[in-house]
Amino acid sequence: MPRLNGTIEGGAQAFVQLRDEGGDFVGEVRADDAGHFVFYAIPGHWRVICLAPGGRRVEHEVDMGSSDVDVDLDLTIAV
Amino acid sequence: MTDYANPDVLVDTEWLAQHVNDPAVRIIEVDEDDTAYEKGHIRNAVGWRWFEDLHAKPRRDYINQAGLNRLLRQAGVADDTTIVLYGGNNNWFASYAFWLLRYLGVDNVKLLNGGRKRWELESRELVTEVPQFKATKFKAPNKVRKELRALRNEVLRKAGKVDFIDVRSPEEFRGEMLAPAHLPQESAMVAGHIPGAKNVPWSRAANEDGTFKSADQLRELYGGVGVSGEGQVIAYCRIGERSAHTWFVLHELLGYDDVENYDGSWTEYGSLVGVPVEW
Repeated sequence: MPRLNGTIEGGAQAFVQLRDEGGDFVGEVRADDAGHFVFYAIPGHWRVICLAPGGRRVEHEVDMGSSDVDVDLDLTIAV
Repeated sequence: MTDYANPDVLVDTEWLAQHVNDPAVRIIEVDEDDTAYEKGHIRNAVGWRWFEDLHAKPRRDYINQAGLNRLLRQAGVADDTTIVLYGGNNNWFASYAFWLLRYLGVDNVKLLNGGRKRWELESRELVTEVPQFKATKFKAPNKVRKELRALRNEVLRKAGKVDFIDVRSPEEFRGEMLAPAHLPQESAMVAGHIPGAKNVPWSRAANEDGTFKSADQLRELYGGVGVSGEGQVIAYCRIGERSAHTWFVLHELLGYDDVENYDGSWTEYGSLVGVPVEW
C-alpha cells in the first residue's frame, strides 16, 4: 500500500486529516515537531487537511498511483 | 447542546477550563497515542492508557468492575465526583472509555465536546505535571450493563436481522483497506463487512474540530440509513473504539434505547472461520 509522507512548514504538532474523494475522514494524525506525518492509503484521490491553533488551516489534494510506493507532499501553513 | 436527548453527557471546553481545579471534577485523558499525555495534558488530568489500563491482559477483554474500581480509586474518584473524559482523534478512545464506564455500571461520566483537538486548537493550557490524588473507596454503583455490549454469538445470531452499522471508512467497508490510513494494514484475516451492515463512518457525526454535529444533523445522518430509534442497532468498527463513538451518539446524544457496541468488531468477525462476509 502506498505511503503518503508529508511535511508541513510551520506545522509542528498540527492535526492532519486524510479524507477520501467523497469527503469521508479516513484517519487523523499529529504532525511531529518537524511537521512530518505519514498515512498509508490505497491508490486514489485524497484530500489532506491540516489544522493548527489560531484558526490556521491548509488543505491539499493528492493522487496516489497504483505503482507508487512513497508519495511526498510538502505543505506550508501560515504561522 | 440543548437539542440532544441527554445534553448533560457533554461539557464544552470553556466549562472545563472553569473546572480544572474543581475537586468535585476528575478529568481523565484516554488517548490513542499513549505518549500524548506525557507531552502535555489538561491541568489536573489523570492519564489512562487505553490498552494497558483498560484491558485484562493477557486475554482480549476489558478489565472487570473490580479493576475499574481500582483505577477510579487511584484517580481519587469518589461517589459524588463528576468524571470528564477527553482524548485525541475526535475523542475516539475517550468515547471508548465512556462506553466502558457505562457498561461497568458507572454513571457520573461526561465527555469533553471536541476533546483534545478542540482544546488545543483554542490554544488552551497544557501542563506536564502529573497530579496526585488521595485514593478513595469508590465502588461502581450499578451492575454490569450487558445490554450495551454485543459479543460474537449474539452478532452471529442477529446478522441480517437487526440493524448493523459499520462505522469504519468506506474503504474499509468495501474491503479495500483493513485499518485506518494512519495505521499499518494488519488486522483481520479477510476484508469486507458483516452482510447487511450499513456503512455510516463514525467521523460523519463530528465536525472538523472534533465537536459533535447538532441533534438534527445526527438524526438526519442515521435516519438516512433507516436508523431512527426503532429496533435494535449494533455498531462495530475494527476494535470497537470508533463504534463506541457512534454508540455514544446514538445512545447518549440521540437517546436511542437499544444500541450495542460490538467491540470484537472486524478484527474478530473478519477472522472467524466459515462466517458470511460481504464486500
